[in-house]
Amino acid sequence: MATVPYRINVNLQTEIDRATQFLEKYSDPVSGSQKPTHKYIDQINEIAQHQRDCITIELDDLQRFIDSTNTNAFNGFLQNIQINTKRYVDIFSRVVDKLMPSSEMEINEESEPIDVLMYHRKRQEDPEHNNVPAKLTRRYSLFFKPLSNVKPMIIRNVKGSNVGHLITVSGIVTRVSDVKPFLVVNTYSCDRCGCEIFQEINSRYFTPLVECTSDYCKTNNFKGSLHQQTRASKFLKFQEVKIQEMTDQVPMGHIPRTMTVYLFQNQCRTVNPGDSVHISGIFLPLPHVGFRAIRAGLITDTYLEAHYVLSLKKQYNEMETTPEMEEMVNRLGSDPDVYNRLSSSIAPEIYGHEDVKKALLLLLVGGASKETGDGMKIRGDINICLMGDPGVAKSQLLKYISKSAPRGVYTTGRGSSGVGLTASVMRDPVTDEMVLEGGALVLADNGIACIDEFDKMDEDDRTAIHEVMEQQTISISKAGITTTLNARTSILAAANPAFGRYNPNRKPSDNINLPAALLSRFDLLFLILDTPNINEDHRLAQHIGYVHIHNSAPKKENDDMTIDSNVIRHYIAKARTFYPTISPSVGEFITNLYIQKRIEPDNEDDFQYTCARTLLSVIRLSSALARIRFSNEVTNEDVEEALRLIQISKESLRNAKGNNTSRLPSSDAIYSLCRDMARAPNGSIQNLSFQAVLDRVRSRGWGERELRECITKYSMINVWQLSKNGKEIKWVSTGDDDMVF
Amino acid sequence: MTIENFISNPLNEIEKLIGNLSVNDINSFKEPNISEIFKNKFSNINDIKKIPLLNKSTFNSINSGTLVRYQCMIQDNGIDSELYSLFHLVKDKKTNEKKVKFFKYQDQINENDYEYLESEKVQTFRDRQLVYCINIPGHNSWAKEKSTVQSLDNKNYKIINEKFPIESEDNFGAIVKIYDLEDANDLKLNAVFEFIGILEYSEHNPTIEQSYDDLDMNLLSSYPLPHVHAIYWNKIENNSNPIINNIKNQLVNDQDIKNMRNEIVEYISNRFGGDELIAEYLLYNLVSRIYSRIDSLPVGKFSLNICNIKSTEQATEIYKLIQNIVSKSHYLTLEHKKLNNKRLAPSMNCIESIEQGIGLVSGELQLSDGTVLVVDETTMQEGKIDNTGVVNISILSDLFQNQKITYDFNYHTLDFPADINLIVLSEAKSKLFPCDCIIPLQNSANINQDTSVNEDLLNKIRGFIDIMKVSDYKIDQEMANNISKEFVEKRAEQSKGKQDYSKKILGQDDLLYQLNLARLYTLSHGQTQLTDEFWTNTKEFEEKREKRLNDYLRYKSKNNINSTQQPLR
Repeated sequence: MATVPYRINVNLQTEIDRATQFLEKYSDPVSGSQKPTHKYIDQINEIAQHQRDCITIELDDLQRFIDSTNTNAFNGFLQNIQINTKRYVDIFSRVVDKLMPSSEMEINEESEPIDVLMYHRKRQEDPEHNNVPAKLTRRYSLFFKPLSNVKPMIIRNVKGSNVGHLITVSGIVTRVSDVKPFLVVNTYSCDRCGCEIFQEINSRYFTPLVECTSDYCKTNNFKGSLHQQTRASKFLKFQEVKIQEMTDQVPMGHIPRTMTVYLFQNQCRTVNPGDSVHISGIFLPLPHVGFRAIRAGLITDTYLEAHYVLSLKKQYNEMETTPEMEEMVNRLGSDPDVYNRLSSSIAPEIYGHEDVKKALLLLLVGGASKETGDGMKIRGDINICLMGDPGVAKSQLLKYISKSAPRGVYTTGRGSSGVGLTASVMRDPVTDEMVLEGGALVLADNGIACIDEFDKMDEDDRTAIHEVMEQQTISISKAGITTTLNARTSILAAANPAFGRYNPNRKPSDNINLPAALLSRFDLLFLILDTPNINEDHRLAQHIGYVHIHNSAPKKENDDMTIDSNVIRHYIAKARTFYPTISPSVGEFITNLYIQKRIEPDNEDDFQYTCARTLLSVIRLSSALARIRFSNEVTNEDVEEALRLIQISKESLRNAKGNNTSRLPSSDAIYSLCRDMARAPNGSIQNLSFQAVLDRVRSRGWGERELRECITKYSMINVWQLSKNGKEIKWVSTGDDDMVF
Repeated sequence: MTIENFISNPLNEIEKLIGNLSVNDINSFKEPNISEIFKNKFSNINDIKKIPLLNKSTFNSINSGTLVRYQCMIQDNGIDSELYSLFHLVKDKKTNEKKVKFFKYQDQINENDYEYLESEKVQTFRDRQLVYCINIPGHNSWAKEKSTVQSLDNKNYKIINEKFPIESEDNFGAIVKIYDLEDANDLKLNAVFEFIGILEYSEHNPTIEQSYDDLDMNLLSSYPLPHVHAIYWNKIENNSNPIINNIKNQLVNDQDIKNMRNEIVEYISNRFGGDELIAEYLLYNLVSRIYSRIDSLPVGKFSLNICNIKSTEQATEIYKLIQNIVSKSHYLTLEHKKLNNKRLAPSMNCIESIEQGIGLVSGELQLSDGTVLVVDETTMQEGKIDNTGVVNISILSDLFQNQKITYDFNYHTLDFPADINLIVLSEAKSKLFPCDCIIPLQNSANINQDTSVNEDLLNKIRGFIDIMKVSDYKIDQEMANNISKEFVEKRAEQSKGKQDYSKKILGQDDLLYQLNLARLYTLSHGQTQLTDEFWTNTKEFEEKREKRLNDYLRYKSKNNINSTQQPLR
C-alpha cells in the first residue's frame, strides 16, 4: 500500500540504446512471402512526411521483440517502462527525434507556422545557441499501449503504490469536458533584443516570464519585457474526462468512486459520456494549488494520463471469454441434455414452469435474423408474453431475464418517467440543449426489453410497440425532430388479467386486456394460473417456514445441476454465433405441418389462430433451438419442439377453462387426431405411417408413450392394428367408406 | 502519560511513541500500532466518556488537535482516496533545528513553530480514505448524549445543506480520514459509527477559490470543514439508544416482562383513546426489522398503514407520540412543491453534485437503519406532478415493497438495501404506498398527548422496543410443520365449491405475512420462541383487525357510492 523509494539500477544511455534498437530493428511478424515491414521506422517516416501525428509503442511488440533477441540485453526493460512510464515517454521521444529523417519540404504559403518559424530559426541561429526545446518541434505524440493480457483494475483498487505506473482501469465515462488547448511550450519575444525565449510548461499552472533572459539583455542590463507569441507556442489538444466505477465493481454498501483522466491530442473526443471503457495510462499525482494547497498542505490529487483508450460494448458478440470458460461452454455443448439443463437453470429460485423457462431460454438465444435481397428485414428476436394471476412470479422471471441478458432493460408499462418506453425530447439540465433521450426500448437495442404490467401501458407507447415488435424501429416526430431509431429488441411482457384473477369461465380475449393485433405479434403466450395444488402448496409452505426458522433459503435439491448464470451467458454468446438454415426437406416438413394446422378445427378459436406469423414463429423458435445445439442446421426435432412449445402455450390458455375437464383423455384425443389424418381428401381412409403420426402427436404436446398407449387401447377394441414391423397403423376394416367411427 | 494528555494533545503523545527520526531511518521505519495503543488506553468506558463529544454545539469550544468522539452516520463514502506523505522535513523555528516529522493523523503543523522544508528524501506516500459524515439524521433529542460544554465564540465553517437529508434539523458534517484501509470496507453508506480521532480545523479564508477547470470533482476537501483523523472506530449498535443497558437489567423474569409489556400497551393505547388494537399493531411495527434477505426479498418487513386520519393535525399528534418513544424517527410530508422539486433519494445525477463537486447529494430518504419513517399522506394535494415527482413516488413505493432505495449515479443506478420502519398515515387506505398491514383509526379516536410526562416509563418503553428489535427469534420444526399444514388446508378449502374470481386466494405473501406477524407478536411479548398460544393469539388479533378494516370499508363505500371495493388481505 505504500510507496517505498524505488531505487532502480538504470543507466540512461543503455535505456536509450535499448529503445533505439527496438525501434530500428522491430519488424512485424509476417506470414508467407510478404516482405517484413519495419513498423516503427515506417511510422516515423510517415510523421516526417506529415502523414501521421502519433506513434503508439505497443508493449506486445516489445515483448515479442525481446523474446526474439534471446539475449539478456533487455533484462528488465519492459518492467522499467511499466513502472516509470512518464520517463520512458521522454526517452522514446528522444530516440524517435534522432531517427526522424529531416524534412525536405519547401516553405510556401501552405506551410504551418511552426515550419516557417523553424525554417527561419535554422537559418538565423548558429547551431551552438540552439536552445529550442525538443518538445516545441515535435509534431507527434508518443503513447504506450499496454500488454494485451493486462487485467483492468477497479478504480478503488488504484493506490498510491501505483503512482507513475502504466495501469489499466475500467469504468463508465460520466463527464467529458470541452477540448481545450494545453500549453506545453510558451514562446516569448523580447521587445528590446528580439530574442525568442522558450518556457517549457510541465504542470497545469505556471508563472509567465516577464523579463528577458537572453545573454544580450543580461549583459546590457536592459530588462527587456517579454510578449507571448501564440503562434510560436505549442499547444496540445486536451480533454478532461471523469470515469466512474461500474455497478458490478462497487462493494455492497458503498458508492461508486471516480477518477480523473486526461486525454491528449488525438485521444480527445474518443469517448462519450455513458461509454464503458478500459483506459490505460500513467497514474500521476497532481499537487493542489492555490487555496487548496494552503488548506490541505501536503496532500495531492491524482489523475490518469491516458495512453490507450478501449471503448467496450457489452454485447454478446463482444464478450471476452477465458479459456476455462470456453472449455466449460464446450463441455456443456456436448451434453445431449443441455437444453433441459440450461432451461432449468433459468431463475432457479422459482419452482416449476419448465416450459415457460424453456421459452425464456429461446428468447435469450434468439433466432437468426435475415435480410432479404430487397433490404427487408425479418426479425429473429423472439417475443414472449406471460399472463397470469398476481403473485405467480412473473415479475421475478422478468427481472431475472433483464439481469442476465447483456442489454436487458426492465420497465413497467406504466412508464417510469416522462421518457417512457420509446423516446422523448428532453432539455438537458446542464447545457439547456434539447436532446433526444431514448426510452427503455431504444436502450434495449440488440437486447431484451422486459415490460411488466404490459396491459397498463400508455396508449402512445402501445402504438409504438406495434412498430417495434415487427419492424424493430421507433419513429419519432416531436419538437421538430423527426427520426427513426433502431430498436432491435426482443420483448418479454407480463400482463395481469383484466379482473384481478383470471376467470376461466370467460373467453381468453375477455380476460386479457390487450388487442388481438398486438397479441399476434408474440411468438409465445403463456398463461400462468395460481391453482391450489396440495403438493406444491406444501412445498411452498415448507420453504417459507424454512426461511423463517433458519434465516436463509433452503438448499436447492438439484443444486449441482444448475448452471451458473455467468456460464449461461457465455453459452448463449457462443450459441448466437451460429446462423442456422433450413434445409429443403425440413422446409417441406414445416410447410406440411403449417397447412395442417391451418385447416384444423381449433383454428376457429377467435383468440389465437394460426396465421403466417405462426409460421415465422416456428422458424424463429426452431432456429434458436438449433443454436442451442451449436448447429448450423435446423432439424425436424427442432421444429417439433418449437411446435410443441407453441402448442403448450395455446393449451395453457385453453386448459384454463374449467379445470382441465374439457380436454379429452390423451388417448382419445390422439385417436381423433389419427382419424383426421387418415381421412384422405377423397374421403377414403388410409393407413398411417407410425412416424408421421408420432410427428403429429409430438407437435400437439404428447410423447411417444401416450401414442403407444392409445394404439394399445384402440387395438384392444379392434379399431386398428400396428403392423408387425411397427411402422404402419392399419385400420381393421379399411376400404369401407361407410365405416362409422 | 495520563488520559488527559492523550485527550488534549494526542499528536504529542504519538510523537513520543514514534521517537526521534533521522532521514536515514525512514527506509527501515516500523510504525507502532497506534490505534491499538489508543484502544488499550481507553478500554475503560468511563475514560471514553472523558473524550469530548464532537457535534454542532461543542465544535466551537474544542481546539484543533484535540482527541474527540464523533458519533455520526456515513453520508458519502465515494470520495476519492488521498495521497499523503508519512513524513516531512521541518525546521523548528525556535531552535532552528531540522527535524523529520511524522505526519499521520495531521495535515498541517502550526506555522508559528515550524517551517516546511523541501523534503523529497523523506517522502513516503500512503493512501488514506475520506468519508463524509453527518450527525445522525432523525436522532431524537432524548436519545442524544448530553454534552455540557457550551461556548459562545463562533468558528467559521462550511455547512453543506445538500449533504444532509432533513432540512429542519441541525446539520453538522465533517470529513473523517481513515488510515486503516483494510477495515475501511466496513464503513458502509448510512451506517452509524463512533469515531475516536483527532480534530483538525483551520480557519483559513473561507471563500472558495474559483475552480480553474470546470470538472474539478471533489471540492469537499477544499471546503473549510472540520476534519477528524480517525484513530479507531466502533459501530454503534442498538439503534444508538443510550438507556438500553439499564432496561436490559430489568427484563429478567417473566412477570416483569409481562408487566412492562402491559404498561407499554396501556401507555400507547391511552394515547389513542384506549384503542388497544392500534397500540398492538404500532408496537409490532416498532419492533420489526429486516433480519434477512433472500434473493433480494426482505424478510421481516412490516409496514403499517394507519388510515382514517382526519387531518394533518391528527397525523402530527401521532408522530409526536412515536417520536417520543423511538430513538430515530423522521416525519415525511409530501407537499406538492417538495415532491416536484427535491429528490427524495440521494443522487449524484443532479446539478449540485455535478457543478459544485460535492459528491453524493443527500435526499430525505437517506436514513440509517432502524429509523422510523412516518409518511403523512394527508399532506398531499391533488394536482399534476412532473418527472421528479413521479420518480419520488416510485422510489417511495419501492421502499415500501422491497425495502430498498435506488440511488442515481449518472448513467447507472444502484440499489441500496434499507431497513426502515415504515408507517403511513392516510385518510383512506394508501394506494400509493402498498403496506403489509392496514388498520383504520376508530372514528371517535382522539389523539391525546401524555400530559404528565413520566420519564421513567418512557425510558422503559424506549429500551424495551430497541432490545426486542434485535432479539433472536426461533420457531421449532414441529410448529413450522403445523403452520404449513394449516396453510395447505386453507388453500385447498378456498378452491373448493363456488369460486369468487374477484378475490385473491391465499398465496405465498399471505403465509410470509402471517409468520412475520407471529414473530412480531412473540417479540413484542418479550419472548423469543413461537408457541401455539402465540400463534392462535396472532390469528385472533388479525381477525379483529380484518373485521375493523372491513367495517371501515363498508362504512366508506356506503358514504361514497362511487368508490369501488378492492380486494384486501
